[in-house]
Amino acid sequence: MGLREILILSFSAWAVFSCLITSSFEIFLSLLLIGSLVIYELSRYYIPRKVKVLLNQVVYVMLFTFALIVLKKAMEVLR
Amino acid sequence: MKLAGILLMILGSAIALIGFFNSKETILNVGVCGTFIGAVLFSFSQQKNSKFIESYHENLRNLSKFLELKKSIYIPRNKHLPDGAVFLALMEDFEIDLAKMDYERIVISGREREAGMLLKVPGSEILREVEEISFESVASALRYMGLIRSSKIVSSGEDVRILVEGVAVDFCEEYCKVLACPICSNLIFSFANESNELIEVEKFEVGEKIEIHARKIGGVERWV
Repeated sequence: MGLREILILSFSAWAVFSCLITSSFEIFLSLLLIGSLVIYELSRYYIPRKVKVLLNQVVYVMLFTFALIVLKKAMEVLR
Repeated sequence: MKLAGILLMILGSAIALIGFFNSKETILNVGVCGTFIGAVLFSFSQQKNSKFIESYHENLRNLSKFLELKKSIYIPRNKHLPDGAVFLALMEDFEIDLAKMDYERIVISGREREAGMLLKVPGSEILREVEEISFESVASALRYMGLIRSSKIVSSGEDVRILVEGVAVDFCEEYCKVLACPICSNLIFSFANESNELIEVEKFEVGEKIEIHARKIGGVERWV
């Protein structure tokens, strides 16, 4: 199994695992974001530049959604 | 993998939307999970394994430009050159004497019209992947490796036109008529071998697809 397959499997396995252990969307997304960032950071050196650019977009979308969740929670606390 | 990624993203998004509108977080999670896996698959499908070709090709191209070589002639397998070869001629109206050629002598000197450079077909390792060296089998091997999407050959009399689509490298240029990359070299060589004739490359047209204009210039016996 090549490095590419290992990375795809790691990302996918973490996503499925996060989906299985919680039914709350907020916790799921936070787990997915944290796990993905850890895998991404650990394998960053080995990922080709073009793939990195695309993965960055995925991470940005997740970060944006995460920011919205944080904002929503903050509003709830403030209310 | 690219298609699987796109399909998974579409399917995941659809499931996520269903979950969102029905306020079912579990379904929403499954949808987002699918979309995420699809995006990862799609991202990794953009990885091209052919980049390593570029530096080798550039070195050879610079050398052939420095030596002011004019065109390439693909020589099929024969008793003088058992693995076949590509001859980069110094003159437009070149002459070839196959009897004088062997792999030990890279630079062919002598009369000016005979001068040039003799190389083994670039990337000829690909040919080990096929049982029989024919255009179709080599094209299939290249397709399987993801180096091309499709290829077609149109041959009428002496004229040959090879059309290649979806080449995995992005440095194609008109100068490839003097020195083609391993992908096109293997395609041209496989045709030379199949027809058992030397093939002279006349023009490379680079657009959405690569169009190689070539000419059959006779069998091995004619050039010995």
